[in-house]
Amino acid sequence: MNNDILTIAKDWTGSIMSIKDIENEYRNITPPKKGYLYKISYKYIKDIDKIRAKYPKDHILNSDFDSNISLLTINLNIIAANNNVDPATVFLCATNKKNKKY
Amino acid sequence: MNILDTLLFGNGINIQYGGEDNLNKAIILRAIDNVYKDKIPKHVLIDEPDLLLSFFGTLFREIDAVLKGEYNQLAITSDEKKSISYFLEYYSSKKSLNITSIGFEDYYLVLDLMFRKNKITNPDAYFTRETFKRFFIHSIYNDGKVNQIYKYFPDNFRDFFNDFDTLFTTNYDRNIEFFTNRKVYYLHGAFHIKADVYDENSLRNYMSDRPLDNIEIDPNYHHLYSNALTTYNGNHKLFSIKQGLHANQAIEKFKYAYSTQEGVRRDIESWANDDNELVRKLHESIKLKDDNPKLAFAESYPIKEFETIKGNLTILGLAPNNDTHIFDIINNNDNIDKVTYYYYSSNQNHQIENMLDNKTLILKDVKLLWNKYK
Repeated sequence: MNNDILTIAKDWTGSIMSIKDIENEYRNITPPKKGYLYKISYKYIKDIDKIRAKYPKDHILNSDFDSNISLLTINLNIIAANNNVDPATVFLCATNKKNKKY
Repeated sequence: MNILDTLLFGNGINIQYGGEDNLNKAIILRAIDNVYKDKIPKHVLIDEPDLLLSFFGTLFREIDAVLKGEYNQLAITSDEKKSISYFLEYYSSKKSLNITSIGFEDYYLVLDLMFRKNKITNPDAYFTRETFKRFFIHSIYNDGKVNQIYKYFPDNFRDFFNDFDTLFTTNYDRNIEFFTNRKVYYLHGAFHIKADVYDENSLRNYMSDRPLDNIEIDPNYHHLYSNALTTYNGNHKLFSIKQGLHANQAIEKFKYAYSTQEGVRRDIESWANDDNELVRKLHESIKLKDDNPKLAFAESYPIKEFETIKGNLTILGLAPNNDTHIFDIINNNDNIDKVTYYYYSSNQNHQIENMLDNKTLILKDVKLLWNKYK
């Protein structure tokens, strides 16, 4: 797996897991669960768009990239907590479009 | 002579009978959900709760750096150093963490370290910290459901409480008070007790800059104006608990000197126009006390009562984390003969033995108690 995507997965979710362990956890998740995590992440990412739409363009949540990432951190962590996986693994499930088919 | 029996209980009772809603994970997830479901009272907490959520995400993303020791040099006081050391000891061994794995009170430590790193000072730091605390207090209150847990207690659970002369708790809810119809001492405050700044009878609100003038209290959210105390460090809690007591002791001494010693009186009078605002306020409070000796800062935490307990003490449903100050008080109280501690996991027992090493300690498995009161 590409190391850049693993590093971003860690940074954007606040994961403390090692790159190697994230990769292993992702590989060991069953395809149906990957599909489920993809779909639920998609819904949560859409929720961030709804939040941003409430505010003007120059609002910090629309103008500051990092503030947006922090909202993503929250949402991916909710999914991680409810599904007993690392938040970085949720990120990998959410960003791999192949998981859509499961 | 009868030996007095005191009970000190914590959140374990609520978890046992109120279920998972009272666990750290549920408190954090519900706090977030309150924002999404528009259940945050914006007029009390924050105009744009989404910003609070974004900030919470930023805070969690710093945990990795804290665990790598990158914040160690930012801990200045011995309490902070102790807290960061506990934080590292507890969380470093975890292979994976998510936002609910961190005790909600431990986030306040990360918050304070982040403030220091980014040179954020009061009043910004104070207001952010207070908003963040209320974010969790509102979640713990859970639309008042936290005060309804006693309805799930078995009737014979009253027998357990009948064995004790005095009841102390670190909980903010009134379940045991409602259930036993007895007085309960709220060591860390309670949702129904106003914080000093919101108490109209407190000396603080007789001063010219009375805080109540700038606050409109919404009674629907009384828990957010309460004295419920939450912070990451036991000594910080103890400082807040004793603040009213210490302020009253100091003002009493000033007032005595002001009314009995002419030289002191002249000095204090000269403070009325001092350049320093704190000195001017001290002058005003001494004058108020002199005019009306009954006036006092609210002492809403029963610390004097707790420090003077005698006889046997039983501790139920209370983990030592973040509450080391309570265990220090117990260990240093020569009038306590025996302590019975109900443990949830025997892994904690070594820590309890160390913290109460001056006492005759009896360790009991709490599961046996819960089996008796099903």
